[in-house]
Amino acid sequence: MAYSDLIDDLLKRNPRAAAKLITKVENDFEAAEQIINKIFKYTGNAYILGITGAPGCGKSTLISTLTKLFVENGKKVGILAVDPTSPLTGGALLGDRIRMKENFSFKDVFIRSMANRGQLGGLARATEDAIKILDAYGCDIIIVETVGVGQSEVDIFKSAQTVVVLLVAGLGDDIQAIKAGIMEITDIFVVNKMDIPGADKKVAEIQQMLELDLNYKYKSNNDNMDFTNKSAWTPEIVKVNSKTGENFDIFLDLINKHQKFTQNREIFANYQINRIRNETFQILKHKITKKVEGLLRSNSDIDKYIKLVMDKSMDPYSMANLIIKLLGIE
Amino acid sequence: METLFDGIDLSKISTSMTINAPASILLAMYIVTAEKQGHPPDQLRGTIQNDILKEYIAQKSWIFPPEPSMRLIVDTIEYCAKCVPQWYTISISGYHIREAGSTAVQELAFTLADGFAYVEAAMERGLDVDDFAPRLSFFFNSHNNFFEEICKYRAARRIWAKRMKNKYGAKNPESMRLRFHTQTAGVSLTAQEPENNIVRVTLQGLAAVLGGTQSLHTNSFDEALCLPTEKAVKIALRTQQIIAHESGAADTVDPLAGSYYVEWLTNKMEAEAGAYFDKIEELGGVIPAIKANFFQKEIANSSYKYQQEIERNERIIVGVNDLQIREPCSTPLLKIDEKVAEEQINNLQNLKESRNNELFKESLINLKQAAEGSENLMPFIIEAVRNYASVGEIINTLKEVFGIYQEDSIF
Amino acid sequence: MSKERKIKVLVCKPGLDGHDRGAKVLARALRDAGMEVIYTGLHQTPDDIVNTVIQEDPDAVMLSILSGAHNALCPVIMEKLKENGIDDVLVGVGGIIPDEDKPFLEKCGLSGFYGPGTELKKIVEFVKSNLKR
Repeated sequence: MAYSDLIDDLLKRNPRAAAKLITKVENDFEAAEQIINKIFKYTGNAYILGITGAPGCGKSTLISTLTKLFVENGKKVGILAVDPTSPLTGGALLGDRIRMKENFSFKDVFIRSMANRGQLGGLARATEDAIKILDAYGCDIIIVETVGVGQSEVDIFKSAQTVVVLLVAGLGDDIQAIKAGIMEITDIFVVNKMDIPGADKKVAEIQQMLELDLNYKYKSNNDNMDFTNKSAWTPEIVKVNSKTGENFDIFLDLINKHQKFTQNREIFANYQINRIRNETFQILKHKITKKVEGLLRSNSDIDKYIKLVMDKSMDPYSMANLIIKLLGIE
Repeated sequence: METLFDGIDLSKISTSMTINAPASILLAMYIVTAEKQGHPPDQLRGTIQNDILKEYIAQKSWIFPPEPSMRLIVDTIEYCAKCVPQWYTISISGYHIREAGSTAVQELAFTLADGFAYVEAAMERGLDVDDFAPRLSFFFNSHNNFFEEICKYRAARRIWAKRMKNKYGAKNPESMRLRFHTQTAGVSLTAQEPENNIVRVTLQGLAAVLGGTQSLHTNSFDEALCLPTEKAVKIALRTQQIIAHESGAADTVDPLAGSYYVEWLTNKMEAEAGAYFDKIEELGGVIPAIKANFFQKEIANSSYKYQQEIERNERIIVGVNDLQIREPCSTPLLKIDEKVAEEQINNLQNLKESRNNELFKESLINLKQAAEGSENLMPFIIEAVRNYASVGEIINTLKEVFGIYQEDSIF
Repeated sequence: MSKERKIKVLVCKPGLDGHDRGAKVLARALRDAGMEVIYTGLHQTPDDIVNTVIQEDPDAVMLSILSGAHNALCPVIMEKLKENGIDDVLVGVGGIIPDEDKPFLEKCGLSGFYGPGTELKKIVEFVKSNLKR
């Protein structure tokens, strides 16, 4: 049975096994299938936190400070740091690790850098699989860190229980740049570098955006722990200083509050359903794309259809419908 | 320090110490050594490099964050202005910035920007510019492009003189003089065909002399291979002796003045440096610019571009990417015995056992207290050194108050 | 979109050596050649480097040492990699490595030497052609 040695080691909390399995799921879809097959029943214990923000907003410092607090509270932490792949060269400089200021003990914190490999790379699927591996490895908390707020990030964050978006005063029109998808799933907005002028203004801007665009009645009603009546979490806003740790007690408190919120049976069930829907969709996207690609390359009917389209006897939409018939999915 | 200068009369010589983050401690040790020889500090002559800003930008040998480091530097400037008036307190350096990959204009601009930052910090402390500026000195690189280097030095001298007078109100001509030491560019020397480096160093040394340097360090030809052998050092020394005594190049002040090309290029470099000064000011000054990774980004980009030019053969390095004759390296290399480390550790152990540990402990407590406040730390460092505190012990005490700096790596 | 497998490389500065010009230029060149590069930053102990290798599982590790400490640092790093069962990572070293020290370092398990004057494209080629997995 392939990978069984590595998986045994993984469950015994061997970091090299975890790393090798992550490499496999990143690079080899077939391997990923076999691995997740085996380890899936060992997952579900970790709490997953998604954190994103524009470059320069101090994400790594924030995550570093936050992780230190988690470790002090006796938690084992996993961090997946995703950096963009250059569309020109296909390469990537994975610079989050070096920006983590704290010197963590390698027993407590597992840090793994990943490149997003462009839109076709299947990032969300690979990240989800890596999360599962770190989950089975024994992490209590898994932080997924990305840059920016594009579609990939929205997809990744469907795996997260709590989504944190970082903003900083003076970095331009980042609020307008936050795409609707991310805004709808953000649970905590953090204004970092609270010591620089404009931080309070940024908090007010976020509040305004939430009230206008998302129709939230902005008052924090999350202190009411009567969850049976609440089906939604009003996004919280907190300003912090990641370098000094100021307000991290409030930030941590919000995370804990949200974690409690998500543990409500109904909320958790919804989260799981959405996550499963999303991951399965990502996997299907890959499989079906591969099937279609294979078909387009090798099926002789396709060549016939293409000729018809070239002669304008058929349009591409009609051709696609015929291919769907060929695939046997109507 | 006592062992090193045993038998050498410190009132009769001058000493240059290439040291940065712990410079204040080394200076304190020199002062106390002289004290034990019976010489008061006002008789002492020398230099400490003591330029922390370029560490964050290029050499990366920092310890504490920028603000406490600047405080220590201004402490040394203030202390020396009063008590060690013949001492050069900073050797404001461009050498390392250039070695890290900057262009000539960047070396010019960033070095002078650092210099002005020190001037402003000292003036903020309340010192009169003419009290300390005459004891600031500079340290530049001398690279391959002969005329560019000469013009760089000329532009530097002109920019410094004008600003010291017009912006900082210096009245003493000594404050406006840009004294500088030059070292030929280590990074330009090759491991392939090392003898070619003798020629490179000659041209670079000549450029520095024609640009008006006060002192010169010529590199050894085995620079890219190892620490230099005796033979290599001798050739390097002879190189500058020949320039000095045989070529006549040092006999006239600014001999290339009036050359249409040299004047044009000097003006151009001065203007380009000006653009950098504006940019740095926009960012809020040198320290904010360091924190914003401005210098580091510029240097990373320049060094990458330089390497690409070499690989595209747009920039020729003779014997490396053009005109190569491949031959095995037969240059003898210097080896350092690891026993040296053991010996030093033993010596330090013995020292710690034989000193008065009561006084030693007390002086560190006082130092820490002073560091938490705003007093000038030099007297406290001197006292600690008198009680035979080691460099490590003093730095560790200061680390408790100042913390350590962590760089935000940019590339 | 290239279906070529992505090569992951760690560029490290072990020890106290602060000369990072070359390491940074190399990191960029490897990225421009399509690789995924992690630069560890300065002042890495052998333990730091090995632990990073364990977690990041790179295909290659490129050490940059200009301080003359290569004979002290490299064997320790290679030994620790071996202790952790890591034998499928290509390890190369650059900086200032005299020819006479290369045989010793080769015996320790290092495969590539990229000293002063080495072209970046040669290093890229070296990585691409010498991977151990």
